[in-house]
Amino acid sequence: MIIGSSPVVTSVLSAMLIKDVPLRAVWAGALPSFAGVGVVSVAGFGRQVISRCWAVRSCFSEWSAGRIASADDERMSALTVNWTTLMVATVLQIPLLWTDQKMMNAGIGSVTTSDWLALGYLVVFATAVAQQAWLFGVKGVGPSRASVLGNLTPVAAIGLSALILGEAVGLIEILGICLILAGVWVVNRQTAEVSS
Amino acid sequence: MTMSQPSTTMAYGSVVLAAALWGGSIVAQKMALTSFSAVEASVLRDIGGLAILLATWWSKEGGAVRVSGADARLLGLLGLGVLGNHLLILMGLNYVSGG
Repeated sequence: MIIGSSPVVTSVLSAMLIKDVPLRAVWAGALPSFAGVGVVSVAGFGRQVISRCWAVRSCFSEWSAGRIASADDERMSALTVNWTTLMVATVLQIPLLWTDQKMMNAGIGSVTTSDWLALGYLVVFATAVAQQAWLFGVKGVGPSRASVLGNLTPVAAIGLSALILGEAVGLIEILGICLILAGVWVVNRQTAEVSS
Repeated sequence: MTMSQPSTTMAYGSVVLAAALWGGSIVAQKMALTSFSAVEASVLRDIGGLAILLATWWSKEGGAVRVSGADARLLGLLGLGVLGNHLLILMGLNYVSGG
């Protein structure tokens, strides 16, 4: 759900940086979405986790800016943007391997089949396929509108977390996601009105 | 080389597909953290994804690309965004649930 506020951040940044929709059209939706994130952070896990959650949150602000920039760039194909940016990220991360090791210490035999399958999903679907699909979609509808649909991400995450990991979905989580989705519904409605 | 403009239906469908796949990635990342550290999972994910994208790019676009100085700076900034997205989510998932 925390990650679910990313599309609203993208809408706000998009309105500010590339002005695809007026900023006033997205603020009304941004506030309840962030309130939803706050509800989950404070009520569910306690203040000591907030700083860690906001580390996740801040990375999405940065990622959102990247999504806006990539949507506005028509000089290169989506495929070129994808592999070049991923290469930059990979090269910068490799030195960090020396600071954080688990499998490298325990040995490759310590990795279970399900964990290899999870990694395979991340490689094929979450990185290669999803990135290409996203950029293709943003080309067609613009980052602000595309980000509204991006709120399917937390819905899928919550559903699959409950199904596969057996994580509980309580009233707090439901309230938080209602606030987030209410916010993006407002953004979608207001941007649609502005477009018409 | 620029992309032709996709139809609105296909564009929305692609966005929905991406969002659903990313939702599932939260669960996959949480599972991967059982055996891998956050940095290991992120590096392996990115190396694997890069291999697929490079092979696809090479076969579709013939391996030719021209990048200006301004483009290189923008791509560098986007790369930092990708790094932050992949690595910080994994680090955060060590402390919070997938949902």
